[in-house]
Amino acid sequence: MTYYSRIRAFAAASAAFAALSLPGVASAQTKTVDVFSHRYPFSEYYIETAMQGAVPGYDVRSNLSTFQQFGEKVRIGLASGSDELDLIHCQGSKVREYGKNDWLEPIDDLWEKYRVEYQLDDIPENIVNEMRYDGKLYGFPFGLNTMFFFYRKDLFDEKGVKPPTTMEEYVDLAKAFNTPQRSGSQLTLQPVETALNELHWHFNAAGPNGWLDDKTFKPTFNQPQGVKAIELVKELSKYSPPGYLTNDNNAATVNFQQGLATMGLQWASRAKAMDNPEQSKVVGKIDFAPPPGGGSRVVVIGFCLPSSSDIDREVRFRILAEASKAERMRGGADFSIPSRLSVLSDSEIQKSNRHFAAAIKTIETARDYPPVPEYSEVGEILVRRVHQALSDEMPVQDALDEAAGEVTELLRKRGYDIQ
Amino acid sequence: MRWQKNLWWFAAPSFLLLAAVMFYPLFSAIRLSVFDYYLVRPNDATFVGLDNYIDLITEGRFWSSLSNTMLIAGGSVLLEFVLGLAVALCLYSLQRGARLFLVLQLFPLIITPVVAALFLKWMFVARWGLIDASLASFDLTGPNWLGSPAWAKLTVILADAWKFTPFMILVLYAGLQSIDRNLIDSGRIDGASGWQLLYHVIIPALRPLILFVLIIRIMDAFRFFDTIYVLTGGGPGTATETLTIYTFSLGFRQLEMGKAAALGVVTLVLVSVLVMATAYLLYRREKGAF
Amino acid sequence: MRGSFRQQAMLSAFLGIFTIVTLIPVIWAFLTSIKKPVDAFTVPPTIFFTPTLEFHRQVWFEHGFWSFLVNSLIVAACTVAISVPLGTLGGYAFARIRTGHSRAVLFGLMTIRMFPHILLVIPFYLLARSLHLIDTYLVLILAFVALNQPFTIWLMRSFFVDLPHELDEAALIDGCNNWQAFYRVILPVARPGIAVTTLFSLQLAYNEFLFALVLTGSDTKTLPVAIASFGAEDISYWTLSAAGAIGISLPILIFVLLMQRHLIRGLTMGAIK
Repeated sequence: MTYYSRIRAFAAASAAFAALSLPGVASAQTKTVDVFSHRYPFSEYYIETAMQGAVPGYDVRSNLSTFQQFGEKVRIGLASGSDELDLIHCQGSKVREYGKNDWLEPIDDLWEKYRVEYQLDDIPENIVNEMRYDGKLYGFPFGLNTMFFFYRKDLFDEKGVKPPTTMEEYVDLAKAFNTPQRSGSQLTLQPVETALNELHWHFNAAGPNGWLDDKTFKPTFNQPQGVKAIELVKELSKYSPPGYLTNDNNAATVNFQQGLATMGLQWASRAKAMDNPEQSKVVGKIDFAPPPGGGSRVVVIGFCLPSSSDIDREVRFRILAEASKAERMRGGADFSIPSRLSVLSDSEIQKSNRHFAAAIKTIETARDYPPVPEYSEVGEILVRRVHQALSDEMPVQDALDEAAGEVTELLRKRGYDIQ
Repeated sequence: MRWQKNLWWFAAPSFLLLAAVMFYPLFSAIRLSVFDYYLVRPNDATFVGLDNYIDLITEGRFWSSLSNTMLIAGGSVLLEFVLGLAVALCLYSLQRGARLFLVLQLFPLIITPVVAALFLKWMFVARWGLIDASLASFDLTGPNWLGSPAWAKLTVILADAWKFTPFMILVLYAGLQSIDRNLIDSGRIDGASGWQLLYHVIIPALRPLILFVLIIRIMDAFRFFDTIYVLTGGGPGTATETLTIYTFSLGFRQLEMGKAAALGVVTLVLVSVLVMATAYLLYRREKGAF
Repeated sequence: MRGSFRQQAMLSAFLGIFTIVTLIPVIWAFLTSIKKPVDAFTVPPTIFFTPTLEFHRQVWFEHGFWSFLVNSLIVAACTVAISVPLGTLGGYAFARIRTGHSRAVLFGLMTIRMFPHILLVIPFYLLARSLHLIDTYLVLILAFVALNQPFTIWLMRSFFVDLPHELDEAALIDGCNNWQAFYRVILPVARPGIAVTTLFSLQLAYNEFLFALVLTGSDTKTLPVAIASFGAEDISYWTLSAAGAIGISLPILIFVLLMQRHLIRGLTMGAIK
């Protein structure tokens, strides 16, 4: 055959093949429940292990991607009413965002129905409430994650110092420990949410007003205490590895593991990685403490039920309830602070997770974001302006004032009455 | 000539396909630009005429992303062209082994952009990226590749050049092959130096190809997204935020699809103007070649 | 071209250095993929280490990259099989019809390429969803063909422009109709150009990320989407994603190595002008 009749034959065959792959018929035997999340050990464990085989006749399939992609996929899917999303990972702040847009199924009735069978009272009320919006329960809480202080205990012991309890102490220690090979401190300011997490702590530690008023959502970050917080961040940046403006939690973890940073704020879920000899050069040298000044972020993490899914809601709830059973949650304790009290207070689990002590202390003063569902859009504006302040493009007060103006305008446009 | 009229049929299958598949999304995207469309509340979309465009033009962020785009696109296309031409000329002058070099140099072009971006990130990330880590073994510290507004722009230009110089090399080398040898040989006999040959013989002969390659690269440089997104995310602040990254932020982070669509239309107009200008500049006197 | 030995040696040296520098990111990524995470990101870089193929193994066998590879190959092959013939036909048409109209139409086609393609994604997604075509090969193939068509047409056009009109006319005078003139006389001469266009189309289809991200589900997920899902929280994922990245690049690199002869012939036959 000539070259071209070969091509034509191939084209015809491929067209036929392509046509054959028109939407496949779902098998009538088992239904597939698609669970979506960003990839981290917590979601891998719960979706790929704990939820498997939870309800007979239903196959749980895991769909993991990066944090950004997951967020986009979910937003686009939920906004367009896609039936692809059966269960999604969520945290308190996302519950509020999606709940407000009516994208989730309320599950109060199911919670009541299965309360006894699955011992749901084992999960403290205030944790369950983090998954509520407007009084309705939308998410099933599996655990908590919080940010606390990581520091090189061996280096601290050498100098005979203790972990800082105030921000000023933190800056002084960072300066003292800073060397060209190893930064005194670490900042993770990649837009949007990574940066927001770090800034949330700094604003809260600087004073009681945080960055937005909790009730009216009026910006408070451009008040004197907020300005002071950012000035402090600017000071800290001198003792942080360069590139902190695009540093994300992964890069930060690597910095700790490679001994390139002495102390800084990080998620509890990263603590175990410090002691993993396959990854870390500082096994056993990192210790944990509540962050100076308190007020760092705590999130309740779990899964929610999109209302556009085509799988029966009770089935989906039961999958979650099964995966949350105490035996299974014990396996998950390595990856997040468990929501069940029985599991959390188990002494064995506490022993094998030495960061739990710091985590529990941190939670006493920790706060989640102000409960505004549009926190992500607000965060985008705030982080961008803070970046400009930190790169000296404009003075700190001006940057924060600009941001305050833009945030106020945005929130008014979304229907909030800000004075 | 008459026989050419029938040739429109040859183009028909392509048209039909494009019409069926792409024109609707294209027009629908353009149409969105005159609506206030917040993706979260699709049913509340209202017609707002040119408001989106006016909002864009009066905001500083549009102008800064435009200037970033011009700078980054201009810098990369220039770098790619100069480097690409230089390497193509070297390959052309090489008597043996050109094929090996050429094939090896194709690798950056062929690797998936997302993957390439990751590779580049591991080069440039602060402290433990390959560049900084290597400098550290000589006790030197490199500039803040990804964290300083000025250096980040340069890093992005380098990243684009890394990925697409092979394209220039490939196409220009092919063009060099098709230049009539006699022209070059007779030029040499007449005593022309290398530079004179380049300027008077080679570049004019390559002109249609140079046009093709510059136009494609300009269009692509304006659409450049994956690599910047992974390397800097448009940061620090908005230092490397190009039009496409800004469009992404508007559409997928702020969920303001109407405004994003308006920005898309503006980008379209800008690129068209640039393309036409480039074609005009290169072909001021001749009309037939394009 | 005459060249002294010294000149050739200098050229080779320059090209050699340039090539190595260009390949450093690729080589480094490969090395990263066979290191344990603790060795992968050290300061200064670790040159001596015990290699491990563990991550490559995980990528292919535990994370199902084989099935993603199959998806990518199917979609890429079908895309090229449709796009190159259609583009060749279209390119020929635009090469021979030299009216102002044709230039305007060509320019109109190019607008698809000039419009930010992230904005085309959502309307396309909504359209596909309403036709229940999400997560099928068909929708991906159609999208990729449509996205690449303007480029393919223009590239083929530039190959055809170079061929003298006399060829067509001679065939027509001999009694062929347009199609026969094209098929029997022009096409064989343009073969090398088709090789180049096939390469570029293949590369575009294989590597397309954004549309694949939005339009595929678990059944049709392609490699670029799969690899992107690994840039995540735990850094052991990074060595994993390095292994995945190298893994994805292998098929297309192998293809280029196999096809390089045809490719170079295409370039050196003076077919582009």
